[in-house]
Amino acid sequence: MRDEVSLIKACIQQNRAAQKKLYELYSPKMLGVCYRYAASKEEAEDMLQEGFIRAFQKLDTFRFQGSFEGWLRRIIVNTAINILRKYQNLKYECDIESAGNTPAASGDAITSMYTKEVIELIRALPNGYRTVLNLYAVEGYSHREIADMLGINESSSRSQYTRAKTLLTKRLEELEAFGVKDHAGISLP
Amino acid sequence: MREFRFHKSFEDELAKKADQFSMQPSSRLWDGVESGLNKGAAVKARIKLAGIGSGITLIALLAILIWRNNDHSTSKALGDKGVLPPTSLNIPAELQQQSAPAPVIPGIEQSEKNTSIPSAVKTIKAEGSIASIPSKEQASSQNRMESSSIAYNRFHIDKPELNPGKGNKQNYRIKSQNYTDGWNLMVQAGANYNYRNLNTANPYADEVKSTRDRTDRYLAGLAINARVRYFWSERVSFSTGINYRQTGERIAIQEADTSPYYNALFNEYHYSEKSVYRPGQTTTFTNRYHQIEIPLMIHFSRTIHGRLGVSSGIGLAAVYSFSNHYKLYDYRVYHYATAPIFLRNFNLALQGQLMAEYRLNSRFMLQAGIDASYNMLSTYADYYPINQKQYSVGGMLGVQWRFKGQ
Repeated sequence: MRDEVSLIKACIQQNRAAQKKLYELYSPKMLGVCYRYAASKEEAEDMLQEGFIRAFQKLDTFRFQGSFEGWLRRIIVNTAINILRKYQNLKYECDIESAGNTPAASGDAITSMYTKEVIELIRALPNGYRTVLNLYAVEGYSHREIADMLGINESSSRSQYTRAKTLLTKRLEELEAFGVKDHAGISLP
Repeated sequence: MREFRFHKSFEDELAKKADQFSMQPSSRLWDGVESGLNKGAAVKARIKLAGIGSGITLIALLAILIWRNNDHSTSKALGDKGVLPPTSLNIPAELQQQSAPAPVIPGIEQSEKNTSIPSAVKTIKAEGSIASIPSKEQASSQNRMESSSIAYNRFHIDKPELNPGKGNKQNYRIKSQNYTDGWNLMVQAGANYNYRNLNTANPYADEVKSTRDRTDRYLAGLAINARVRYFWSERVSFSTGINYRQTGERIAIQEADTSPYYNALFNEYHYSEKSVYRPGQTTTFTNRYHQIEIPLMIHFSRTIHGRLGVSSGIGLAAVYSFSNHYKLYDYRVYHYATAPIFLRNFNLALQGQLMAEYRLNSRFMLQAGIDASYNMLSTYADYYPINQKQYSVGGMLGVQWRFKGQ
């Protein structure tokens, strides 16, 4: 912990070696975060690169009061969202009434799956669904916060999440029917 | 942040799996981060330098304007001719017969210089002729007028007795001050040739450069300037205002230019390779940027002959790219084509002009010449490994109108 603090302080002093060390420490995990939002590994690397540049530029605003990983993750996620908003015409036009009923999805199916398969299932969702699902279920943002981040209505965020969850549950059921371990067609770059 | 949820296990299991996931980034990705950090630092330094430079220029300009105003006020207090007006020569009667030393002027004999001021001097009027002055005092009076001609010329240069003759260069130079004194409005428009200077920040993007060097072509655009120009002196002037400029480049793709980058571009626009790669034909994509510029330039003018002069100007311009019509993504086409997030909005440009100027009358001047602009920062954002600097060279026609001055 003390090492991390001194490493961050060295990064604030623009020490390139320290910045590289910090990058090497967190880039695999942060690329995993970006990969959940991106359409490809290349896009995820773009997000990661821009996110780290922003993080190093804003590092002097880190107060050493919470987890550095949490702080970095917020910057990376915000960068990814900004890129998605600008690159893609994300549409979240869906009323809460039209979202339909959500099946009571169980976490058991997810628990029994490999991490890679879960990530690929998330990534296979349409852009809008995937983004809201990531922000709500994984990052833990509220629907109001998601609505602010994406510039949509809170009800749209809720309906997108409901649809994403429905779709994900359906695919989980399909995979369970095939047998998760034998499932083909999921591959990481 | 986290809300209470009924289906807690689903979200929690999903979050747990997602947290466990990590990937190893490409080894070259750090180069991009480092390059972005270096560029960011360089840009900060450049902006700081440009700010200091602009501040110094502004202060210098203000100082010059204040100095000029003070100079005008002093001269005006002496009268329109730069010498005391006749009414202010309030010589008491008892002193009128006394001898007053004349100014020491080289080339004039001492006996003439020490000539006393006769009462006739009091009758000289500002606009009048010196023919009525007695011949003995004429040389002395004329010399005094010539010695004050510097101040005289600055404000009353059209006086017939000071114009040596039509067509004379010196005469015109004196007359031309009337055109250049004070504030002028300058409107220029022209067509330009646009291209870019392409560099890569790391080997990662070298292939992009080689592909684009093979396929990029110039793009024709236009530029319109509306500026105010202040003449500090006959030869030195400053201008500022607003410019509109189109820059960009074309990408001309032929059948031989097969590239994964361009294939991705075609996919983005729902083209098939067949429709683009046609034998013997070229398919062109256009990247056009629309820029609004606020320049600050210094101009150096010189009369060549008669009414004709030449003016060269150099300066800096703050550039805002307000609309980008961008159709190319270099190595990850799907990004560029849909939304040019990494195109820079604000830039700094080095600008220059070389204009021939023809004075029509005391207020209007026609201009024709060359205008050039070079963007000092990349078209793309700092973190991007492609460093592309737009430049523009074109012909300009313009008119200048003096709307304030003496």
